[in-house]
Amino acid sequence: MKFLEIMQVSKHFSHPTKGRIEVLDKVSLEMRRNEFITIIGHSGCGKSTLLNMVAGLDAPSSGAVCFKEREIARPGPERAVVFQNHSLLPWRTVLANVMLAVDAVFPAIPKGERLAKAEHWLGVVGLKEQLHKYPHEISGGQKQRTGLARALAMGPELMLFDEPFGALDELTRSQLQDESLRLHGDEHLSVFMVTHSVDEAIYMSDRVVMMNNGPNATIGRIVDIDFPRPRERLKVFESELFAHYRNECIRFLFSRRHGAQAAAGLLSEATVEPVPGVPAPA
Amino acid sequence: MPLPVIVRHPTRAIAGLLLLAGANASAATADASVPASVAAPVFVEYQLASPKPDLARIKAAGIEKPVLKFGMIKLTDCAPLVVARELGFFAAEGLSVAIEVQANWKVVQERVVSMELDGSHMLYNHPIGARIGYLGQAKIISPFNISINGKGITVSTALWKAMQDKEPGLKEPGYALPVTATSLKAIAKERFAVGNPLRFGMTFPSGSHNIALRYWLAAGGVNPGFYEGFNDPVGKKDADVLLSVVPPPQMVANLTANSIDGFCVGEPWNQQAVRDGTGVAALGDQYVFNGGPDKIFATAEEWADTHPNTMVAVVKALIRANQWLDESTEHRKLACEMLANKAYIGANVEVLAESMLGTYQYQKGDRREAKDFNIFYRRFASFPFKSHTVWGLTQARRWGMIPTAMPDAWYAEVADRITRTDIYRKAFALLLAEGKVKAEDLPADDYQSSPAEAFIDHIAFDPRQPNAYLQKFAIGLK
Amino acid sequence: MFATVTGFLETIGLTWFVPPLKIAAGIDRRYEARRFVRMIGLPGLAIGLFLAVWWALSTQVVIKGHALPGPREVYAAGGRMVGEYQAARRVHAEWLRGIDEQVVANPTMSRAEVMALMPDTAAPTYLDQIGVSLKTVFTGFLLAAITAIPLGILCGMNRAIFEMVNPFIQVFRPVSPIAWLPIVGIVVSAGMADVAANSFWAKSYVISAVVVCLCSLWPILINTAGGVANVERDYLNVARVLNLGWVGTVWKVVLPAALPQIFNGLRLSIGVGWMVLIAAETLSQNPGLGKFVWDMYQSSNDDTLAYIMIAVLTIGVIGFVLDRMMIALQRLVSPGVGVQVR
Ligand SMILES: Nc1ncnc2c1ncn2[C@@H]1O[C@H](COP(=O)(O)OP(=O)(O)O)[C@@H](O)[C@H]1O
Ligand SMILES: [Mg+2]
Repeated sequence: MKFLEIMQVSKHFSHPTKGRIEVLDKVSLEMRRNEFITIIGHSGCGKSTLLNMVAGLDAPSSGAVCFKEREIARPGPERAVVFQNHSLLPWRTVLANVMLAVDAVFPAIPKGERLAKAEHWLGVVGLKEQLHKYPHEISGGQKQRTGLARALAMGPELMLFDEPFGALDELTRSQLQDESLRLHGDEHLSVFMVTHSVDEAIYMSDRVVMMNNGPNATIGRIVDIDFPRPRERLKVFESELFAHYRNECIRFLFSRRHGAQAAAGLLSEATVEPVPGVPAPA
Repeated sequence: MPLPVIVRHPTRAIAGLLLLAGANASAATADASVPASVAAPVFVEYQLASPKPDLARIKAAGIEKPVLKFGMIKLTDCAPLVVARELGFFAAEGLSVAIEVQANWKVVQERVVSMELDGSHMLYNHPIGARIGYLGQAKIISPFNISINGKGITVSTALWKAMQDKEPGLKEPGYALPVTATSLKAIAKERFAVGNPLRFGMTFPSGSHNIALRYWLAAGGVNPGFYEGFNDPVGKKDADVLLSVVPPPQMVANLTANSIDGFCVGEPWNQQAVRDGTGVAALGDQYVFNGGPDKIFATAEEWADTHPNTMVAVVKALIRANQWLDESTEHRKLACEMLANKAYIGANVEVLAESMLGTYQYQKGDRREAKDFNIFYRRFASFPFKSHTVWGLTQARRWGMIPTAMPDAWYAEVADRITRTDIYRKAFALLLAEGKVKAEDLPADDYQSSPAEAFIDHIAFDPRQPNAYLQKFAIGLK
Repeated sequence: MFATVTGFLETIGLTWFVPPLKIAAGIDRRYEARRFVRMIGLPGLAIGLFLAVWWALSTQVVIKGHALPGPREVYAAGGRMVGEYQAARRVHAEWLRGIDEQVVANPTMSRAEVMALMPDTAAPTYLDQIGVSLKTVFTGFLLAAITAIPLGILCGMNRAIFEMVNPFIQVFRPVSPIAWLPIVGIVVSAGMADVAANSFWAKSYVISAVVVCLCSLWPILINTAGGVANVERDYLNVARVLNLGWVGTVWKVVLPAALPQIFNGLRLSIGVGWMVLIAAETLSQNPGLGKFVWDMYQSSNDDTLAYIMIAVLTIGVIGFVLDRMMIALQRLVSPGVGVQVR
């Protein structure tokens, strides 16, 4: 059974002053169970729009998104989202925020077990000591961990990360990346992540999906990342292959950017040298 | 100023202040040419009573509603209600009565009709206007007349000067009363010609003050204007002067601000204007129609029908209160002290005393005897004569509130409906049996004629012939 | 413990009492002393200046031959009102003794029956009048809140409903209580024709409360609708991912998120309601502070103005306390959200 399929999805918005905004144009992508894929592209190209359609928070203008061979019509806890700015409810404690999810997803199981579940996931993300604090009383990293715990507590089949570490400092960010990778392994997660950091994309994912610029953005190129798992940060970052992938991505992104700014066609796709082991764009 | 003393002994302080006020009043009296018999008394602070109702009476008399709320307007003639409560006359009948101050006459009428108030201190022409449908139809009855006379007409100091110029006699100290409106005739014409007509304030279109003011003006040859039927609240057709409604407490302020040139109202407002030096009290209405009706006690007709025994008990208590009020000057003085309490009128006691103790200050320092200003019991004052109602109806016709001439029989019929002498007679008989009243204080006839000398224009009133009476007025609809 | 007390005082907005307490306890003396000067010294100075100007004016301004009452006269009138209150308590005690006597004299009747037959008919005291005003304003305020909050939520959640309600908000919001009063009076009188005249639901009380409600509805409605419409998209997305449903979303996400602004509306509304009430009472005969002012105005007493000034001060202080109460509530229900004390 196919896990996630994005088929010929186009999306446009109507804007009161700017008129019709064509964001995505016939985007197609497939994802396997347990895969970790990353969408990368310039700000405003439509990454979040794509993720929202996978989440079911938004519907495609044309085309379809199917999850386990069923068209996605609305959001659901089997596709948990970790939002960019954590979006914890500020009037609820850390525990209560996670409980909100547990209560909603598992209304049938007894209250005590639900509480245990919430505490378990908060323990997994290292927040055992912060259960009764309010969001404004904890650090940015801890907030993001809470968001992660909330998503995990839904028992999702697919995790959707929308730039979850974007607002964090470098050290916290690395820590959370490593923990997410550990969870991906331990909990057999499937992760669909949006980021604008090339290093993060390469370090974490099995495939890096690069989008070219909008309007009418499409998938420009997909890079398979062949590091073995579990991954070790230093080993990965110091490897030559990492530098190679990095070059590959930056060159694509730069050229795309340039291409979008130039009157078109100056830097055609042909000028990007194909790299061995990396399939050329479809 | 020993402020802490006031805080520690507030009651003592109040008594002290009242004594001071009394002393001031006596100082003022000493200046004036006043008969020695009316030396200003010394007032003491009145402590409200907690009358104990005779609960046995409730069953014995078949009282339908022993707990009552009555309305009053801040005017000295609310005294019978206050006295009946404070001296326990209501309590003796088994009644517990709360007395609540009302904002204005319109509010009083609305709340009596809706029976939010079980009854109230009212103007004698409230039930008349309501019954004939002037500015709205409602059924109000009166089993008791609170007072006769008791209104004053005040003119601004400027208008008084103008009147003196036309009528030099008014410049003499001790000029003769009554002051007539004759001198106003020319002044009204002059003011009308320059587009600034004379303006007078009164308290309510279908109100006793409006009628008294119109009567006085018309007697002097000044046309106060006609109403054009049931829905005209202004009444200025053919008018030489403009009359408008001003709430009693705003009379003096309006006079000071020159937005009116005079007004007709009850006490203490005329005396207040005199005291403030903004006006001259031209005359009391005992000179306009001596024995003319003024305030009544009234209830909704439905209330009276559904509470017959309570109604009689209330009237019994009120008769005793009126009798007490007219028994002696001492009683009147005590009544003034009661009224000065904030729960009732709350005015300075010496201002209340001016009219209540049988004197009246016409101008600052010109204090004269005025025995007939407020009468509560003498001259059958508390009896609800049907002739009072007929007279009120004739005036309503005279000024056009009743749009067409009505037959004499109609006047009697309306008076029968409004003026419930039967209730009064029943209450009086019970009091007589208890030995509380004298038989000679009950008139034999429900109708009382008034001789020519009772009126400022010397037109006698025969209540059996209202249409013939209306014919005699030079100014007025027939 | 100490921190709890001072924390509570800060929460309910009685920050003035914190510095003296802390100074006495020897905590942050310098800082607290400066705070004390800022919070109490400066307003105190201003009040002193105000009293001085008032006193100076009162010696100059003469109305109808009477001087405008100065601070001393008002203070003295206040003392007299205390005396009147004590006298009223004595009358009340006498009434209670009367009840006792009647209970003894009428052994067949229970105390409750005696009390029903001879209730205390004394005129209400100033404290009674304050009580009536508070009761009325809270009734009107609660009526407004239970109407406007649900309606505001609907407006905030649904653009179409908002567009339907908005014209009414715009047209009715500026209407003064004086204009509502006659209409409300007629409608309430018609609706209450069968209600016993002097029951708990006195007509004047209902009319005043409804007028308060009509005027204090709008701030709640506007703020609730605004608060609900501006709930962060992400919070709503969380609710959608969790399939909370409409009721769950409103109850668990929208309401709590909009609560600070709803309370802002409630706070504005009780201020409006209190102002409106005083006006409504003078005309509707509700025996509260508004009627006290009107009755005093009608008294032609030398002390009239002094008594009215006392009423003005009372009205102001109560309005201030009501506002503080709302701030305290707002802080209690939405921790971590700054509340502007102004
Ligand atoms: N609800 C919306 N209405 C109109 N335009 C939108 C809406 N959401 C996104 N857009 C536009 O679509 C484009 C892509 O947005 P987004 O997916 O958020 O970009 P990003 O790749 O930075 O996540 C942007 O130009 C944005 O302005
Ligand atoms: Mg984005």
